[in-house]
Amino acid sequence: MKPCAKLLLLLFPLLPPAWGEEVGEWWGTAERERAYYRITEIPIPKGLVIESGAFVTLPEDRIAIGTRRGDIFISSGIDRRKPIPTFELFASGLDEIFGLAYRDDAFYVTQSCELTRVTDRDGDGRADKFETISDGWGYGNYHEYAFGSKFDPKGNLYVALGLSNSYHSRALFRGWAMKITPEGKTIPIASGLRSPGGIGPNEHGALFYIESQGPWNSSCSLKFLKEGGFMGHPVSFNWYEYAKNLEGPPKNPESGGRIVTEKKKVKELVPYAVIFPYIRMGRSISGFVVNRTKGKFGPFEDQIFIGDYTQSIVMRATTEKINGVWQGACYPFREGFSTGILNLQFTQAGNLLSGGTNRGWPVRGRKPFALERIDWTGKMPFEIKQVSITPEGFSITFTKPVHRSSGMDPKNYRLSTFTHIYHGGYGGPEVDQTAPVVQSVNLSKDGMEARIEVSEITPGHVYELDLGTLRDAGSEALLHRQAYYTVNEIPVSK
Amino acid sequence: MKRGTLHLTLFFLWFACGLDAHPFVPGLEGNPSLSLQESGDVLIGELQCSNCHEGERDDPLARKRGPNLSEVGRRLAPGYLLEFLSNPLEAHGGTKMPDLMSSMNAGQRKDSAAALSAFLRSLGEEKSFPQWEEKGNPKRGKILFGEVGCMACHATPSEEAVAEKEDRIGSLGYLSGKYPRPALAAFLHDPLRVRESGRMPDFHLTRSEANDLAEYLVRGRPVDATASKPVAEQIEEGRGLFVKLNCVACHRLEDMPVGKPSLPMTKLRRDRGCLSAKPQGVPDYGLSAFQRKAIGEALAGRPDRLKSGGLIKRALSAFNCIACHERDDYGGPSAKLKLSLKSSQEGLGDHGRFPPSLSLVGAKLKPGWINKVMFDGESARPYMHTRMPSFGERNLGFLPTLFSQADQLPEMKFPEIPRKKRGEMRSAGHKLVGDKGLNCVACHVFNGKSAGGFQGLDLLATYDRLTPNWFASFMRDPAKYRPGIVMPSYWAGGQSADKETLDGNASAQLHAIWHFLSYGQGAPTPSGIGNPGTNLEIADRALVYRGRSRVAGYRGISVGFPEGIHYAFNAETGALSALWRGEFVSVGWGGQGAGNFNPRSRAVQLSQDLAFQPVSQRGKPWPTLPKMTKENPVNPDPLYPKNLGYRFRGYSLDDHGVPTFSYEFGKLAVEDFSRPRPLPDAHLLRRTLRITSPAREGLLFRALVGKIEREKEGVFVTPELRLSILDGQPRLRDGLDGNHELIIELSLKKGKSEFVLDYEALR
Repeated sequence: MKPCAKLLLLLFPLLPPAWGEEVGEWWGTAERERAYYRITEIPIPKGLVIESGAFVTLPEDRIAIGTRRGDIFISSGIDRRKPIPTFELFASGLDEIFGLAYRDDAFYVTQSCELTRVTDRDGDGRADKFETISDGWGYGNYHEYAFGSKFDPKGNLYVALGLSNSYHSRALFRGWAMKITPEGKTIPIASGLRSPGGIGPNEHGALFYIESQGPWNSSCSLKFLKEGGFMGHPVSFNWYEYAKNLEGPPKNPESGGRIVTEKKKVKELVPYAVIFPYIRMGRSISGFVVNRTKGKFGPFEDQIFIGDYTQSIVMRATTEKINGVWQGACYPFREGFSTGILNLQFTQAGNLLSGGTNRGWPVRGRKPFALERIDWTGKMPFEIKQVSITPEGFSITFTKPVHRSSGMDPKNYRLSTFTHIYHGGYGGPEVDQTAPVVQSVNLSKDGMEARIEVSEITPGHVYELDLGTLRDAGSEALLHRQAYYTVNEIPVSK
Repeated sequence: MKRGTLHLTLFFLWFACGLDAHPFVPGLEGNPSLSLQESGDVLIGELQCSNCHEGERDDPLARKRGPNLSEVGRRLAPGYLLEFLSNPLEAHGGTKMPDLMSSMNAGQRKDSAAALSAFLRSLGEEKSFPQWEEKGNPKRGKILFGEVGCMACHATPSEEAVAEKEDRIGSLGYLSGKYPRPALAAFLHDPLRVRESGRMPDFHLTRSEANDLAEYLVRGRPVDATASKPVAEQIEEGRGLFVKLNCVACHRLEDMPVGKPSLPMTKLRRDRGCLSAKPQGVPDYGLSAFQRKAIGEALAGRPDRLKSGGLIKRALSAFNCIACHERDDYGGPSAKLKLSLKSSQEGLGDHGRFPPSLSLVGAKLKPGWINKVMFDGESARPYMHTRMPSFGERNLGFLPTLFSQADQLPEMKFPEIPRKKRGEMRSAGHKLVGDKGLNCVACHVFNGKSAGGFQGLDLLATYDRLTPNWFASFMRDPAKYRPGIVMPSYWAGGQSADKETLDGNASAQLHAIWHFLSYGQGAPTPSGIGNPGTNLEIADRALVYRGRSRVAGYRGISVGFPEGIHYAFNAETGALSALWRGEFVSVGWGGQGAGNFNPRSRAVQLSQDLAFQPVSQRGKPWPTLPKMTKENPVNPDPLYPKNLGYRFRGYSLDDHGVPTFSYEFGKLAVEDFSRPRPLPDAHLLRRTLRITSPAREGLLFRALVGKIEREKEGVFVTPELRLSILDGQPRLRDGLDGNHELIIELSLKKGKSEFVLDYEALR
């Protein structure tokens, strides 16, 4: 769950934050965004509290919602033009739900204490059987949140386990990710997690999770969850003796270096695949989902959509595997949500459902809880669709043709880079900034792709692209001018 | 009402009103803020003149269209549709739909209406328009009608239409013949679906509210929704007429041509065509003499004249915003409407009841917030029963920008506070807002929570809603900007009511409050506002609630019974770890905590260690939970009690919600359920252990730890608990820390064995 616990929280873990934290201003693009992506509030009947933590779609256009209060609601009618949802209480009394999968009439619910199979045996619409599928981890601190995935193609589920009090690993496998096989075996697969907030496949089917800013993580990031990998925070090394399937703890990383140098020394260390520059791109990114709506949600098919708790925003991300290592870019998408976003789900009609709460941590949106639906209006925004790396620089694709002369002018592609200190301190500044020069632009005939040649590409750096002066064929500026590409590897020229 | 009677009534009314059943534009009735010419400008938009007379597409108020007819046959009663088409002005007094058949004789008129009606009824799929079959509650509907805002434009259905004129409201007398209730309910729920131009706005009714309101409006009168199926010939004829009469100019339909343009607007003259006293061969709107005059005036100088301003005023009139909102010297609720505007926070005065003034609104609200309120159903005043409806972004999307251009306040930029000073400013703001400072929380909600007094606007919405200019100006003198407001001035004459905080400096204090509120939800809760737990109440079934608890560990499960005896189960170890009487649990759903539970009365705490051991361990110390301390916080035995053979398997609920816990101990499968004994012994909790064993064997069960005395055969007591053992061989022995341990040796059969214990809390 959310990362930003500071010292005071450590001392008074049960009190709400008492110091006041800056949540960061929005990008200021909401008024333009609404022409392309509308936010519709899903009305929740008076008296119901639905602090969504997890979603799963069900047959017959229904959606199940797992909540922080431990309820599972089954909802219909969310996709109507003007939603009139019904919320049937299917199960209650569970312990903070942050994972919901569904298979063969059964829910697989990740709650703080365990992964549970929940079914309704007598068919009265209320759950009556709660079978423990896995409780193969320790739970001894309120901040030890557990996030669960959907099924992978082989029928496995994955659970990402936050640290104790967000700093320590005092109970078994805190800071680890676990695989739960269809036979019910619980297998620890990776150490070094800090404060995960969502787990599932990226757009290529590889297992990813989100990590929150804090020690060993100067920004939030999307990370590839590699089996046998070490995800960066070494405090959970103490449980390797209980992970008989893995070789003993990795070498301790050295605090204060850079991840590019440390990953050479610590072979299990998996670098951040997509860094979300702190504040500019969220403060505590959360649940994510891949857009497989077959175009119903607009031009961003097969891309990752990811929420942010603190800033009540939704962003996009894309990933690619270069020289065997995952990396990619993130992009602003939509701001102005009413509450802290914990999870996202594409609905059957191809809209994006968001939900969450503002309980416990500072949040920009002021509602204690909300469900909101984002619909594509059908109007095409002018956006950076995707940034990919090339041996010489980057390929940038757009959702609309770029104005020819504007698109060919290297001055319209401004670049700056930074990296983070890889260290045990909480968060950290952006350092080692560079300002590479765009030496040439090659704009495709249809104006939909620009390939830029860059004076230098530095592994370990985040490349911030600012295309604020670029114009489309109708002289319109980009809806969001920025994109942020994390370089781990540079492809080799063919 | 029978069809004939309706006719008669309408005829009578038409006659009684001095032939003045003119098209009814509520925002123009008795609106002194507009000149004759401006009234005409509004009428040109509302009567959709520019759908035929081109030339002013730039005027955002000239984009109005008629209702979407693609599903009209699914919505309206066939009888009404026919009658309305035959003579719209008679069927619905005040309609803005003109009579397009003024040049036809009675017979042609009848045939044309029948053909048009057949065509329209042929449109749309059988179920394309929602039909809500559930009945509503007319009493609740009546309250809604009075409170949400219908009365801004409509008279109550029972009121005589004669009252229209003085109250500036229109009658809904025709409604009960027009709509079958199910369709009316669906229409009221989403009016913009049919009436895209938003003159009937969306009041954000829930489905049941829409049902209630519809029930009230049709007054229980079933509408005859049956009609003969239209025949193909008639449909085709109707389709032809729909184009010929130029219905398509105002009602767009798929696969139909667009309307035929008539004279451009600049060529129109007063008293000619539609504006003549007796229009012939042109649309007849039944205009009043005033309306004809006003439109005639307005034609002069259009469209260029429109660019010179006044659009805000015209828009507020066209959409009748002025029925509820005042702006500068015009608008605001009528004396009659004022009586029906209600608030659940009466102490907030009229500002808590009446929709807010729009004077300076463009300087007051941030543009993003105006958009949310106008188009997304956002609201900052939950206590106000009147709702701000949505008129549709397509229709009024231009207004927020106009407001912010028109409304200006002295520029007030709170300077950036240096990092080092932020803490001080934040604390000062925190103090000022709370009950140790200016006590804003006495009348304002903070983050949805109240200090127990009035529940005015949520302070946390301040930063999202207001501009710093407004905040700085308004706070110094609320009554200057909103006369009559109950909010006092805390900085009257620049002197702060709090002389201590920030040395009583008014500017600094305002800055501090603004800064504090800018943290949004990150702003700490001010003094005076509590954060209580939530009590879980038990109805007629058992209740299971899972969460960490000091009485049951992190994998705790509480079980409550209607009988008023409750227990907690530690799923990590399989222990019945606490029981108590009275109320069930309070749950911490505030802050970051994951819903920890606490018994609401003092619980009898039992051991949370693993309860079973093989007989081979007889005489050995009982294996207890690993202990973590401040010095050694890491679990030293993280596999306990799994390494001793325990495994939790879950639970199932019976028809009364009573859980049976399942777990394993080695090769044994245990089913463990507890429930109150029947009356008169309901203060006893009976626990049953059903153990399935692959073989005959013994099993140690540690039933109790503490200062235990044997009361009699099979009955043991501690100062807090009486435990009756109905099966097995109980043995008391000395345990750790001067405690006793009550260990029962159970003899298991091959297959299922059952053991029963009764727990009685002695407090």
